[in-house]
Amino acid sequence: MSHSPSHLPSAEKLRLESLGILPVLFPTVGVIGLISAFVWGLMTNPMQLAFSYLFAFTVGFTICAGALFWTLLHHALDADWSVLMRRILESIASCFPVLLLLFLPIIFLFSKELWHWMTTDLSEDPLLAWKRPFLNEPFFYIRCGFYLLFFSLAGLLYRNLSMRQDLDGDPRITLRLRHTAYGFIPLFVLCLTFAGFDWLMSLDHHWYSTMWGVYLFAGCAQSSMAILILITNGLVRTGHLKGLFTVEHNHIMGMLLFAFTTFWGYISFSQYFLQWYANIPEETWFFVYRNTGSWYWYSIFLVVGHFFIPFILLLTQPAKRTPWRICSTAVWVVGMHCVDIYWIIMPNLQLQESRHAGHVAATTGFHPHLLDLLALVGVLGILGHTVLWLLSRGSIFPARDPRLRDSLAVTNWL
Amino acid sequence: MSQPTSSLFGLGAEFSSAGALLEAAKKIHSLGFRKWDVYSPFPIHGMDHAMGFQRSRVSLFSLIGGCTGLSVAFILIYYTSAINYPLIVQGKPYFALEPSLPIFFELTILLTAFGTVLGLLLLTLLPRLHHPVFNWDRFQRATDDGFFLVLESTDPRFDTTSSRQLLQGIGGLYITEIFQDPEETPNPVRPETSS
Repeated sequence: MSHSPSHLPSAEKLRLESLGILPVLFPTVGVIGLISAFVWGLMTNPMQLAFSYLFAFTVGFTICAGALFWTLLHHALDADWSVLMRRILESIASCFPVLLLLFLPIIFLFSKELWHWMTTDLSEDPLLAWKRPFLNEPFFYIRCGFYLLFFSLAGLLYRNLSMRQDLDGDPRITLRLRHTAYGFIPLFVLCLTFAGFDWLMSLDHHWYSTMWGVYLFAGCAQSSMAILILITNGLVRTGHLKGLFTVEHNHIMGMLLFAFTTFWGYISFSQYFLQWYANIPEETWFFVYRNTGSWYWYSIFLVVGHFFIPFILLLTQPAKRTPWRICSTAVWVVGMHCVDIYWIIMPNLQLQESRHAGHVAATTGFHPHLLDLLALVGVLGILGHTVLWLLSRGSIFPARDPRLRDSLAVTNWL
Repeated sequence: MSQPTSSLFGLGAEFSSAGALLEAAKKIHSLGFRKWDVYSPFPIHGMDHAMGFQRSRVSLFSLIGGCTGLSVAFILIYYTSAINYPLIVQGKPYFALEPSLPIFFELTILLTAFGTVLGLLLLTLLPRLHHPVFNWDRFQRATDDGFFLVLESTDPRFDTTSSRQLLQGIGGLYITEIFQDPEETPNPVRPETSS
């Protein structure tokens, strides 16, 4: 390898002063966004707040879950290219304790507003009675706790052991994390799938899709790869990882973003296609509602913006190797991920409003609310601050990982 | 040592290892040779870069194949199910995008693959039954453990004497003139021509 450096770089600290206003902006925006959303929402429209907050929480949760997935996958496959970026992934994946705290309002304030099955009379709903062994409140809360505890422990375990390796350089930590990953990946899949069932699919408890978990997962992996591209390139722009990060890393991340853009398109089409073909009212209802009124144009925009536009933007090699091009695509992908989560959750708000009012709600179709934005900005601000704080606690890359040399010398052999 | 004749194909040299061949290829490319090639038992990482290859044009054939596949799929479905023999199945429209998409996808992929393979064959002038390098019996080791570089006589920079010295200078072994016709090749190769 002619490119491999003769000596390994030493650990590098995050220089917060080089990040401009970000270290101040994130906590400020986070706290102001959340407080104003809660005060205003609880006073004026608690149900809107409940759904806006679930939307914001889910966006944050999926991005962190994706980061945990990439960390586990890195270890399970003994990957080399991603070593340089792994500390960033580990930091995002270690936000789950914060997400656990952010989930508390959902349990204590919003659960009855969000999940219709919690308040439905069983005698009126035989389908729900049949689902009761699974959809009952105690079991629901136990499951929620289990998911978030598992994600928290997994994220912290991977970050802490990786940080310990920075100190002692023990290669056995790499082996240990690899073997743990084999067990954690199935658990991760189960937790993510059932979290998707519980938090999102059960918003409309008559509807079901067997592809729900993998649909959600596609969005997780895609959006967190886009976030990784943005953070890494942001660090490079502010003078970090000098001489370590190369265009080849951008190329690989771009390829994975492209792959998961295609994967999302494939999965979301398959989910839609099967229900369209089978034409069973309980199943098609989900899509019929999202093709009614202005939701129709919203759904079209989702398909075009979430799949076709990034697919075309990422198709060529220069698109992945030019920093501004890959970064602007990544920004677009993250935005479309929010659009996707919004599309999943928000139609249920109008259904809930209709149920409470006893007739079709006045607001059908796509009606954005300022609370959506406030909650989203609040949650992402808190998470952004957490990631920066975690990153500043140690080296921004695993300086003594045995695979670091391979990661620095990675080439795509064009 | 004979003068270049019309039937001289080129000058072949063997190299001791994949690394030596890679370095030799870089050198030959930097000198501006155009008609030359390397032969090895396995792909060598970075060789296309060392030889100064530009981006392959195969992708153009793939694109043409893909566009053809998509159009064929659309015409096939639309003509058969909406024009020629319209039939209501399960209350679905005669033509709908949903059930067509898998077929669009499959035919696009299939004809992209055909276009790619066809383009590859066209650009590499395959299939080809014989090649002058096979006249060099040492060359058989190109499928086993031999690493070869052949400068072709049609290159404007080719000159039998100076090219031989060049190959010797960059570590070429068993430098041999390769002829178009089997009769003119020294057979077996004389070991004394090695550097």
